[in-house]
Amino acid sequence: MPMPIQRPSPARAAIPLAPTVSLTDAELVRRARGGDGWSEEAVYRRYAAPVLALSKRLLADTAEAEDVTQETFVLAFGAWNKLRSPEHLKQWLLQIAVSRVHRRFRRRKLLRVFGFQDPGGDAALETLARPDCPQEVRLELARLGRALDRLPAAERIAWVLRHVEGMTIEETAEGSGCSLATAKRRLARASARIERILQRGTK
Amino acid sequence: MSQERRPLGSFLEEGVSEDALQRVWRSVQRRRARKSVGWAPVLVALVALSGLVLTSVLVFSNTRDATGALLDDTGRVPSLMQSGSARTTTLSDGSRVEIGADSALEVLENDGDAFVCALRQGNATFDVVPGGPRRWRIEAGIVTIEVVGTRFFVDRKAGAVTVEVERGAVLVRGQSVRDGVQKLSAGARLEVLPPPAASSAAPAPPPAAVVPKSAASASAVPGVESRGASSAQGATTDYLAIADRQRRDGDLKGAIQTLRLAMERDSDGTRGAIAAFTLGKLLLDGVGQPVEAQAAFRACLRRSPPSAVAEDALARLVEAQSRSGARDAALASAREYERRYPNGPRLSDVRRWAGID
Repeated sequence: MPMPIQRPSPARAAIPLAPTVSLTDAELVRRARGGDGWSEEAVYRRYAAPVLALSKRLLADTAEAEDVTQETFVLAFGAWNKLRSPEHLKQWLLQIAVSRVHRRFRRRKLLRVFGFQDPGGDAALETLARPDCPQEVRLELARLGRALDRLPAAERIAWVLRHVEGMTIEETAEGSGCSLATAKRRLARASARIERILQRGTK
Repeated sequence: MSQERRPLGSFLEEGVSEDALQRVWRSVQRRRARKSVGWAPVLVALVALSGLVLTSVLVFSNTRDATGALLDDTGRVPSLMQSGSARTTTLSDGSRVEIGADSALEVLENDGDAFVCALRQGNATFDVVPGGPRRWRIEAGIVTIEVVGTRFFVDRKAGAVTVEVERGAVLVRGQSVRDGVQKLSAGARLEVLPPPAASSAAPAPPPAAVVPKSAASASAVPGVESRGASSAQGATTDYLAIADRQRRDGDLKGAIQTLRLAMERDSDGTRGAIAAFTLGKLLLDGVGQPVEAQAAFRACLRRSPPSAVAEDALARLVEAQSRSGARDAALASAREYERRYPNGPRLSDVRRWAGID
């Protein structure tokens, strides 16, 4: 007859987790570079949500956004030596994610060239609206999402980073992997295109 | 000059679930595991193991399920372990699970790669044989515990979860866990409380940053200057399309709201008139509200609609007035229809609704 498992005795001094201050990004990166698997997972836990959320808003498709997120962290975990400033970990991860999103857009374009219809994603902007969003705002988000669908990938990405994510122009340039001048040009073109599309109607 | 506006992201949810995060994390782990295995070690391992395959089959065939699932001490694949009193189950790899009194543990996944169970209520103690081929994972509501070769206790009570580790280490994951994941070593104890209930939703920020109240106001989207009337027409065109899709999807309430907004956006144009007419039909035919439908048809007629729409709108106004019991009004509208459209296509319907012989 097996001995019953002894539950850790309450009389024994269990060591509670110290109310640790969260490790900084730089410290997590340092530990991850040393091969600490827990630190890599902590990095994932800290930044997977914003990476996934950004990918969803750019691609308007949940499955593709999850693939991009997976690719982002697989690449990041294999390239710690390329991260020059560990304190800019989040920006680095978002940059990797944006470059993967670019590839997805190129793939979509290629498929369209070969006659494959884009089935359309399940994460259009208006579906991501907060539950308390007025109907009028949802409708505008729906129109905006359709207008964004018609932009070239680089302009779409720049516009979303700037006006949806609220990044500064400098952060937009860094996230897009381009110069400040190029980012400004893309933003201006994107805004002009969106304006024209909205005036005509997005049908 | 465009004003600084709040980002559109403030109107959006993050839209990321714990399930999605865990799913992606598992796929990251799988991809990295595949990457780390080169070809040479695989070949060597295959050669070395080939001589042991037959022996393994003979030794393990009567203690393991063909799928590699762990069996309980009755020789069966465990599914739901529920107990009134405390009970210990020894699994076929030597691991033991003690389920506490009035507790329930459901096995979700059980094969050669993983043993996953959910603690639905109560408590359980797990004594997992280290070095086995399987990943052990225990889902306990707001946390997930992943085993790294250990003996540990999990208690789930009123939404809160307590994890105590006797030997080895576990990883505890969950949205309420600091940094999303914590590693507990021997002697450590972690209590995770459910996240506080969301306070009554803060009212959405005023939509002025995104949606103008009139076509002549500031731009509809940040960074984009409005061109006034043409912008409103573009919006109304889109709203009509969206309302049509909502109607086809069965969301009549949403379609009605959208059409009302379309009328507001184009208060005196053709598209606004069409929106009003469509709204009237939806209110009359779709949801049976003839009084509200009358107001919509009148709004359409005030906006100088295209002639075909005007004729139909006047006819349907008679119908709406008749159905709402406003017989005098219906008669007056019918006479108006006869005067304007003496050979109109709906003349006989109009007379019937108004009770004219």
